[in-house]
Amino acid sequence: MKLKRILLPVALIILLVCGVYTAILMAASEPTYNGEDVDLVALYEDPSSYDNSDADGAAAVIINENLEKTAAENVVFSVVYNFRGYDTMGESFILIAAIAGSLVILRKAVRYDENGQPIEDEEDEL
Amino acid sequence: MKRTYRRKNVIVRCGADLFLPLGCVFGCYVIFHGNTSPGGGFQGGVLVASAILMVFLGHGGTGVRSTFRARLLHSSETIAEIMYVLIALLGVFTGLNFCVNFVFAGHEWETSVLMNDVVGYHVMAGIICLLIVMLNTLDEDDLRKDENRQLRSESEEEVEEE
Repeated sequence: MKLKRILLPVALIILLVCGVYTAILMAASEPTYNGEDVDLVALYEDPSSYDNSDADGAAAVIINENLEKTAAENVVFSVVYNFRGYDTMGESFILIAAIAGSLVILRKAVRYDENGQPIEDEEDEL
Repeated sequence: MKRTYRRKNVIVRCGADLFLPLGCVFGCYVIFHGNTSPGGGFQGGVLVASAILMVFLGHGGTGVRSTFRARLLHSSETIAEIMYVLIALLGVFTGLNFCVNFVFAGHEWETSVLMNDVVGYHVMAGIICLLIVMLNTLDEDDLRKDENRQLRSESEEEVEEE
């Protein structure tokens, strides 16, 4: 019982220290993308004028080499179905699991008589 | 077996019949143009699945039960998921990564479009199956008893099911 009382404050303090340390690190490091110079109105009117030569990391790969890597015209489409194809597959499996669970919970109730035989209702099944 | 059910209001029925094909066509458009425009498999699938709500509004639980088969939809949904994995695996056989087009730039046809269509069918079948199950509970528990009670009291309006 004493251990439990000590454990919660210790865990919270550890979390707080880690969070503050991460916040200090993030504030000290340089921002990866600085969008101060971008004029949104001009970008909307002429999207090809956007200068993406100084993009870094995965953004550079996705923006500059999208067409030759995936042959997809739309960047969002290539991200969803090529770069993150595993993610889409997992979402579909989540959907299957959710529907199977709903089928189990909301299935039609079957009542039994004294001999253990199911009572047929006049409604057809699912 | 003869069963009786009450027909819905004629305005609701005709309105549902009018907007049902429009909703289906719009959903299919969103699915098939997912590679070039906003939208895609998930969103278009849900749009097509809203057709069952139109059928329920216009024709009640009897119309839904005689139009859709939940078991078939549930099994074909699983087949669609298997098709997704197989199409994604096509890249592996040609020496590339999982989920990568093996048809490269210069061609309009790509394997990701097929994956998009498969996901669209998968979501459509899944949401329709879910809605059928939910509407079944709603219909059988509450609405049907009330309708039957009303039918017994006003037996002149009843219509025989074919």
